[in-house]
Amino acid sequence: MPFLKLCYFLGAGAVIHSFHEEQDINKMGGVIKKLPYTYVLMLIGTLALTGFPFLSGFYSKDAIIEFAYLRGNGVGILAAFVGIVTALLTSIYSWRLIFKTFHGNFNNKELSVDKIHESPLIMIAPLVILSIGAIFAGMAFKSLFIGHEIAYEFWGKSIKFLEPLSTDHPPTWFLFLTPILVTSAIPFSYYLYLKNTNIVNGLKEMNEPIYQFLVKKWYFDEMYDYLFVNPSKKIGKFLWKKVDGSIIDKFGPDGISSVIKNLSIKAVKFQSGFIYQYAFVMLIGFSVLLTILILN
Amino acid sequence: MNFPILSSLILLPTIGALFILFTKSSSGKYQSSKYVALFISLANFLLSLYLWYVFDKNSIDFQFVENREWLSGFINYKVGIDGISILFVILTTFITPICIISVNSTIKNRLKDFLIAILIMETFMIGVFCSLDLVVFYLFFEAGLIPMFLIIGIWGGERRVYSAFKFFLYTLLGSVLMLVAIISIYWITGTTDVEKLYELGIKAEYQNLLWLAFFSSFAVKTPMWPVHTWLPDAHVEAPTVGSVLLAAILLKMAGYGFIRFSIGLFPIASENFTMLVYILSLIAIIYTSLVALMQEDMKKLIAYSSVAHMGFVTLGIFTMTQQGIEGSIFQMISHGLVSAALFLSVGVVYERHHTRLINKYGGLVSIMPRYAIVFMVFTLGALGLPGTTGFVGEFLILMGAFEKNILVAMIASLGVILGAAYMLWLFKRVVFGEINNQELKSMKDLKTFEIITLSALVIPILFFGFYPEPLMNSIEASVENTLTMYNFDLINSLASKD
Amino acid sequence: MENFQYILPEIFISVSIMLFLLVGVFKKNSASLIYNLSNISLVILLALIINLSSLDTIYLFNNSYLIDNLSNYMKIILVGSGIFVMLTGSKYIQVINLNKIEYPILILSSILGMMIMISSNDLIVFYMGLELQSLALYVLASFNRDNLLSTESGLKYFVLSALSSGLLLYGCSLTYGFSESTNFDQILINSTEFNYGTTFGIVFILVGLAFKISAVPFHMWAPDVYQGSPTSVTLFFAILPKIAALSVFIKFLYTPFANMNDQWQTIIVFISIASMIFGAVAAIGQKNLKRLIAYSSISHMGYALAGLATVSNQGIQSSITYISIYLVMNLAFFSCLFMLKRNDKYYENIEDLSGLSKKHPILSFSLLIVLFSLAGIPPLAGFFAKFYVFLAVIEQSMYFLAIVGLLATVVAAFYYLRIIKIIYFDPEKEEYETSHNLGLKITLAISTIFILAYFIYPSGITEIVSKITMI
Repeated sequence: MPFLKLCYFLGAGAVIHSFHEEQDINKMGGVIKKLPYTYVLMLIGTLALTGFPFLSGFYSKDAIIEFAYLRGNGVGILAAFVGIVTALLTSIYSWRLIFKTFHGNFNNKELSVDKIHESPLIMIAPLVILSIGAIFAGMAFKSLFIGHEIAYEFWGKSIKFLEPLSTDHPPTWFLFLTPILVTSAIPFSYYLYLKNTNIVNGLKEMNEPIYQFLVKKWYFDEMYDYLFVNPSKKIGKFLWKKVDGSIIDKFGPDGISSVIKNLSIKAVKFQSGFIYQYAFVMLIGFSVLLTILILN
Repeated sequence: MNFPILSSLILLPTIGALFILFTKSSSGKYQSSKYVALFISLANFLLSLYLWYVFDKNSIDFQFVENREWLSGFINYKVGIDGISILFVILTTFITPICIISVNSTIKNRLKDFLIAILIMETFMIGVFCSLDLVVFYLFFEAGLIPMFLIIGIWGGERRVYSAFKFFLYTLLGSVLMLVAIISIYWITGTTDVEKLYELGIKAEYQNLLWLAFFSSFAVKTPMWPVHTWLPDAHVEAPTVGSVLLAAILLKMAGYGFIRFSIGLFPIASENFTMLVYILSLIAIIYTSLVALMQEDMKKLIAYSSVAHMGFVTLGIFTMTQQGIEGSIFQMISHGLVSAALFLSVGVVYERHHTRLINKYGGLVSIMPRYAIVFMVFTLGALGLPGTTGFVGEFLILMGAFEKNILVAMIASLGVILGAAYMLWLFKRVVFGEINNQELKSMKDLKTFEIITLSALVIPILFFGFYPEPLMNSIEASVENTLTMYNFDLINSLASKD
Repeated sequence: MENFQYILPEIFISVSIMLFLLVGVFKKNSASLIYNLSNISLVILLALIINLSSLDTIYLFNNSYLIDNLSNYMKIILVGSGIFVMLTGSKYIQVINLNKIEYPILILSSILGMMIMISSNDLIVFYMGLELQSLALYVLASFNRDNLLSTESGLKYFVLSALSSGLLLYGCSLTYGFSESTNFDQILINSTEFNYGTTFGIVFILVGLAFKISAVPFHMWAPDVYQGSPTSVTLFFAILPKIAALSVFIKFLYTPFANMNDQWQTIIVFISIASMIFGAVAAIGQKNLKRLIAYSSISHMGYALAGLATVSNQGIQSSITYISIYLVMNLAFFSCLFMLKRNDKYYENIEDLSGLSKKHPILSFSLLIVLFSLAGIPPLAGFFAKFYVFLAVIEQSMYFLAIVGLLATVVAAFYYLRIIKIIYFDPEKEEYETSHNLGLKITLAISTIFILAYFIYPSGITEIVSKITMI
């Protein structure tokens, strides 16, 4: 798995680089001839990712689905089917990416086709290595990781197996189900995204709210914003401006200092400069002392 | 060992300052003064490293103790270090040369006076961490206000006068009660010698009030909520180097004081007030993290984050567990390095672009790639990513907290998330994104001296993040001893009640 | 007659005064000569007192005159600061045309009066000394007779001082009436029983003394007189009468009225707290440095009184230490004030200090040290002064007094910081003259170094002071 994911991302990076840091696939297309190497490598990556038979994604994905099925109970089977459906969806959107990026017409209005260029060797070379990995890693490591005997030795105690790995095999039709589905997704998405885009567009228009819902990633970001980010910001601002500024500082240091300043102004005014007043204060003070003493 | 190594550590910077004061620099730019200051501070750093080398880490006693008659008959000048204080001494001697190297970018006028202020400040800071007598401690603790007041006031930003006054009066007000408490301790027990006081113990009936008096001072200095408002102002208006000293070392005096005095001298009161400290710490963590999230000024953001980080420290100390206290000490060291680094990083861009407003920046990654890398390390250090020192400290503190009070620990963990949020958001807005401001394009990447100072901070942050053993070894015995004494006193007091 | 050797200093100074008066009358233009001669005579006087100070307690003239550790120490610091006051003010006197023969002679006679006050052990002797010093002070305050402020301040001081002297005298007679003696020790013996007459006497006497050290609420004269008098006289006012009045305070409280400490303690605590707070608060609004230092000294006297309120030797010693350090700080501060001269004009407003640090780094540094010390920030001498006082106060568990006093230091710190702010943070103004006479420079250097380096060997003063015991 790490190989193909890396391969895929680096491939995407190479494409983005070629398009001068453009990430929107709607603004790409029709550049197979311009980017042959990238195309081939991305193709390998996509095939591997979608779990095309005998590439690395195939083994891992299949193994997961198989083991889920082999749990034998309802949840296991449900999980297996969810796995299969997702594999199909993965396949469709991955191919959509390939078709929209490389096939069809050049869609970018800001950038002329001539400016599109192959990525430098330093970007392509790791891709090649990774794609080889993506092709062969599955076959090479299958027995090591998920083979029955060797797996125990390799993982040792670092993965705790709740019960020994089942040695049963699922029915044959089940084994073929996933590869067939993912492979058939290729022409399906070819048709949907290149030949006859009307269907997709029609679907889009018919289910506009759902489409928007999906485009916005189920509104998860908005929900986070609404639930966590914005309240945090609001509370933060409130605490800063109101509590720190208007309460703690106003009544704390600033408040005390202004009180003392006012007292000071009063004390200064108290010093009027008239002798009779000074004498009066002295006598008042004297009487206060006398009172204190008598009351004591 | 007869050589008074601690007194030398304390006095060396002052001697350097006097030397600078009485000599004239050959050039008008005071370059030679700067080299003298750098030399002195580096010598002090090496001396402290030597101290660490000869320091016996397995001993629980105070080492290199010097005891001289001072105020005749009743108070002695007594200094000494244990595994906890030595780390703070080294932190101080390590940060000071970095400050001195960074001086020439931030300080434009009166460089000579500034160097003197920093060196004097170093003396007082080392003195705080070494003193084994309450009066001597108070002396150093308060004396530090003078140079810091001048540093903020003379070389600070626009609102420097307000900030300098606020800083000075706030902290002075906090510590007057401590003086009353220290004198009371003298009349209650007949000594202010910390070691003797550990042996004698203080009667339970006095402890609560004395604890509160000490707390009033340390809480302001830490700073804890709600007496934290001087810190953002002081940090923002202080020159970069001032902020570094303030954040890296001055704030640690209080944390150190909590461990050495509050827990050490008043165990029963500490136990009584644990909940108060928990609550204030949690408020500090959550509250200031939220406030930090909204800051528009980089320095203010880091200042508020300091309050939150120190909230973790106080929380950890008062868990009274081995992990909690060790974590707090580690967190203080870590915060000393990370916050110093962050302030220096802000200083780097401020010096080039003359603003600290976050929205004036963006896309620095493509203009200043090296800067982006070091800044990232510091950001990750501040949010406590595993592999940096910040993680070790916070993790241990949370472990300690979980042991004592799960609810407290869970709320504190929330602070870790918020910490990640405001630090990453800061980093994203400053370093990533579009270059909105064309002026930014002319900014140059790090200069040599900036690379030196910043990488000097990157190395320990990462090294001790991956390998905290050396620091842990140093504090382990002392923390264990503190806790043993603490529990012993508690059990005794409970026994005497029955 | 052999007893006269013990009052040799007093005899010496009286003879000098008369001699200088004669010289002044018969020799024209002898003002500077007499000024210098007076200074020399003060030095000799100091030597004579120090020579006597090794002796034990001695009673003279039917126990009406007492020489002991307290009087010796107080006289030493009195005459010592007198010398420095003369040294620092010499140039100032010439510049503002006050260099007349009467000036040094009045100072000497005032010092004589204070010495008598300090040594007195009898109500009548005490009152004689008090009036001698006061009379000289009235004239000194209005010495710059062409200046409106100066004459005004002299008149104010005279009228109010007369009022306080009247109260004091009334108190003396009440005390005499109810205790049947004017001798301090005899009063102590006779006043073992409580009666209202003596109690009233205490209040009257304390009011008169509180006026002398300008404690609240008998402080009203201080700001006006401090501001109006010539600066050299202000310096004199700020230090010497306070030393004398404080020692008389100690004498009264701990000799004749020692048995009634539960009565006067409340009064002293009240005066002390009022002075500390009022001095600190009122100083904030001041613009004139001399006026500010008047309020500052009001609040400092509050701390000195706090030591006296403790009824313990520790407290008395702390008060004496306090006033010793206080006088050094004042000397240093006024030396700086004397240096603010430009074109034969002396500047005394806070604003005139603006940006002083850029052109006059050493002067500003001295002011910085002095101001932080006045504010009581460690490790400067001012901190130790307060530390000793609070040590004594807390020993007697007078926590309220201690906490109020320390809070007042925080308030007081504000206005000291404000001056520092103006010196260091504000934009600079014109340069001041840098040539000063040697006496001024030496005084400033000695006092600044004393304040700065006090922490290295703080035991020096305490060891001497610890010999003074009253209880």
